[in-house]
Amino acid sequence: MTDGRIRFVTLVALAVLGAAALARLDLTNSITHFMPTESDAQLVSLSLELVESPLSRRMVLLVDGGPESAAVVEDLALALLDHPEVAWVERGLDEAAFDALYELYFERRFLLASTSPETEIPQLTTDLALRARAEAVKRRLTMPDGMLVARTVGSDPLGLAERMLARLDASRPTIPADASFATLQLGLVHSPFDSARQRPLLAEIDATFGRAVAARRAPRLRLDQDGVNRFAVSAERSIRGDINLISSVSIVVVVGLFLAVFRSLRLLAIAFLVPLGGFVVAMAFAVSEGGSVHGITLGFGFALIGVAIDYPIHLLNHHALASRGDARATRDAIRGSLLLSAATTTLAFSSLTLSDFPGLDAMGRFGAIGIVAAFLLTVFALPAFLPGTTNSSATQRALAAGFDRLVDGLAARRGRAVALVGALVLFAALGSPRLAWDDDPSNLMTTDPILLAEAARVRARVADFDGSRFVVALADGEQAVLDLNSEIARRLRPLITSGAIDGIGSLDAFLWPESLQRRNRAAFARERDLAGRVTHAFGQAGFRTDAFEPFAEDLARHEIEPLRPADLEGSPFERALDGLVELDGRYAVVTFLRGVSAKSGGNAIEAALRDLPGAYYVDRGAIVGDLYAGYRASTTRRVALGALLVLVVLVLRYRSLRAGLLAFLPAGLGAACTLGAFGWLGLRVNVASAVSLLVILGMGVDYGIFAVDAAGRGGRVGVTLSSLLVSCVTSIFVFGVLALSAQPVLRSIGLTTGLGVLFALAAAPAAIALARAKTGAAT
Amino acid sequence: MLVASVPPASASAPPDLESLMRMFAEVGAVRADFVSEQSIALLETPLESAGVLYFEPPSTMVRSTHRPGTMKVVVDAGLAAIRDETGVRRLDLTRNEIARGLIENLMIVLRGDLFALRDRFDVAYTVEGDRWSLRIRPRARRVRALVDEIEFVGAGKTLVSMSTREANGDRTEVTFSDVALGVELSPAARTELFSLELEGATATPPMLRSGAP
Repeated sequence: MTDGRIRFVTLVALAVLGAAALARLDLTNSITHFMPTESDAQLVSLSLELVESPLSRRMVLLVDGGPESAAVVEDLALALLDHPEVAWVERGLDEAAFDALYELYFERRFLLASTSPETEIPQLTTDLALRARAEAVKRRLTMPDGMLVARTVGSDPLGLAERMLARLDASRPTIPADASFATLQLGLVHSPFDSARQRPLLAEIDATFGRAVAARRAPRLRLDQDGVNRFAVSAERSIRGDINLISSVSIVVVVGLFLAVFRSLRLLAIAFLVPLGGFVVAMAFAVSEGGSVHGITLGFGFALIGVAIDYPIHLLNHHALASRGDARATRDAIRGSLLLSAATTTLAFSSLTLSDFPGLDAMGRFGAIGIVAAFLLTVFALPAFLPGTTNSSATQRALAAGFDRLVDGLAARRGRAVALVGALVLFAALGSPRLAWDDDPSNLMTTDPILLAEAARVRARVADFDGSRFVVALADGEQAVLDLNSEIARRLRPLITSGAIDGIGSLDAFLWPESLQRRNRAAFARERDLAGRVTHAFGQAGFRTDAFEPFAEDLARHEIEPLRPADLEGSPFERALDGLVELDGRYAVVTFLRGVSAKSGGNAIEAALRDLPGAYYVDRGAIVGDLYAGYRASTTRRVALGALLVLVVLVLRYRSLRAGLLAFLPAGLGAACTLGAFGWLGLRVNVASAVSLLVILGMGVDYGIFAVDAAGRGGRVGVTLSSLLVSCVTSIFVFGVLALSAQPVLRSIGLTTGLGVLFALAAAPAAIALARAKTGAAT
Repeated sequence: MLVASVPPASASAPPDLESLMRMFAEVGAVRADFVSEQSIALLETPLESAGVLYFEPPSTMVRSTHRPGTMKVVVDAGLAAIRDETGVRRLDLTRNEIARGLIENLMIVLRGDLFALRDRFDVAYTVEGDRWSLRIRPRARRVRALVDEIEFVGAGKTLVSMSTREANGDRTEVTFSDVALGVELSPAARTELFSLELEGATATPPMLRSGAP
């Protein structure tokens, strides 16, 4: 096959593969990829799905600063109601809600009276209780809201509707009464993380508020907002800004570097073809397995660029400085080093596939496949892209000569090489014990302090439900889960009295299981001549006896069906059903919690639910924290295992423990010294750092193998070391500049990778010197 | 305990609504005894109650009833707390249009809030000698479904009575006496007045607490 045909086939194949993979790519950000077991994953996944739907797809707007607040909120509500991203707007129980309340609940008041109907309804309906109730109602008539009582007492003398209203009211966020501010809640149509849709909405809210304030001539009013979408859009803007800056800096520096060293931008494009090709092939494999690919897996895949670019750089540099004729001859000369380098890196990445975490397994496979593809591209396709002969640049020659002198110096005075290694080992050994791990996932991202302060002002006024702690009921049927949910609510309510929690938001406030509703009806039916006794008791208190005919008629009606989930659909209370979902034939209901006491709230909830099968208290922060800690520990173990396997392969390959150790030296010292540096600097290390260690391992092994092989071949090793330098600087500027990011997760990856690569490069000359000293001694 | 009060001045009726509202805006806190008679279709005979009313501008009011039972309504900063022998009920007036419509009308007049009065009601003001009459009709549809018209009658600076005609024909006549204007309360008297503790009242029954079924 001619070089032209190879180039054509390679480019077309990669383009087609890339396009096909992109077309089939289904990205996910589900945290379940990073959970160890399937059962845990199902429960937490379900819980997150339940909570993220109603709670995160929502915003709270608070207008503060004067009595015009209510009018401005009204303006906002009317304007935003028509926005395509706004699903609903709520300012309180509006007219539609009152109408629905009557239609859905009032006519079912005999079905929705008590959670303990067998005991409470007889207590409510004794003659003594009825007389007391009649006197109380009569006194209520003298109160300012007495005319409301007068309107309903004829059909509801027992006050059952008022009890239902109290239940519904308690399930809503608590907002203190204060005319100086007004609030508005709105629901989002799409995910709060869908920045493309959230940005215009946020801009529209600000613009609408500005117009309303101007129209009402109330410039002192302030709008505070709280919503996951605001933080998501802000984080995305921050990351996008970082990436733009960093990628610009990276591109400029890498292009400058290639121009300085190779005097050719064409060679830069050729060099990047290999890691990009590896990425495309790995993505195609990931997509072909079916299911979705996790965003973190793809992000990790980009790290391949830093590792796989070593191969073309070595080939380019050797071709320029130590060409054996055409590019294929150069390739053949270093093929052994390339093969071993790719094999050990693949092995290191493959160690992740042994992890219990599906996400780590996927990342390991992605990395391993990408490295194999990059190696194959370097060996079989890249020579076809290179010119027959390449003249080395003055920079290349100067670098090579400089490294030659450095290694000659180290080899001549072996003690210096040993001292360098010893110093690095000591640095790592003394720094590592100071290392502190940070397993709090919230520290992986920074949030805008202005937005945080604004959200805090909103939360200080509106005591909303906690999005991170909730109770989930899981059962096999819809009515079974409603039964369970009702029992959960019954057990949690005493915790409000005891102060363990401030309140609960339960579907139980809106919908009871049919069994409980029928028990209520049966309990009323057991009360003999209730209508007559009510009429008598109220008559004795001075009420006209014919006023209670509506009550008697309604009590005698038995055709009213229990309230069912379908009845709430389309009503103002439909959102209560957000907490009820069907998942693979099972049903789940989430109960939201408000003001869980930090001291004992969690323990009290767990104690209340202890012997209730299917009821789970979920503390998302604790679960995710545990998951990240496990993920970090598993990653660290896999990195250690990968390092061990690489070392074994190197020892077997060189058939010498010493040579194997020397080849492993840059990788081992790179990772160890990076951790040591973090320890010395007092920087907390997180899960992103742990994953980055694997990248250091992959690149460091490349350095070691090329160093030892170069020493073994004898002659000038400056060519190899100058290749390593170019590779190292490229990696630093592709990844290391991430350390400048405002986002801790990107900063961790950048700092870990940048430091690791630097340490690995620092150890490489010592490895060559020691390897050459041994070879020389042996000679 | 009242520590200072200004007796109602014998003055002629304000000539127009603006003057009336300005007059109320200037008098400050008001304390008055009241007797209420309600003619309710539900009841065989009219229902009578009596007590003390205290208003402190701009948005604080206590209505303490001694007869037929001991009850108290405390309105402060948009929240109404209603205390009787069964416990305390709280109404958020800022978010409950009907409750606001029923409870705040007297406060709007007593603090002389002309803007709110015209915003929420259709208003008619007439003067006859030293007596004046202020008739207001709610504009909000849901409030109007309950209340047809409220008439305040006064003499000079003093509010004499308040009549409420409901949409269903029920009527309430409230007559004020011993009206004191510009009242200042001692801290202890204020604390006692605003306290929701009732003599002889029992703890709130669990079933009536907010959130209980």
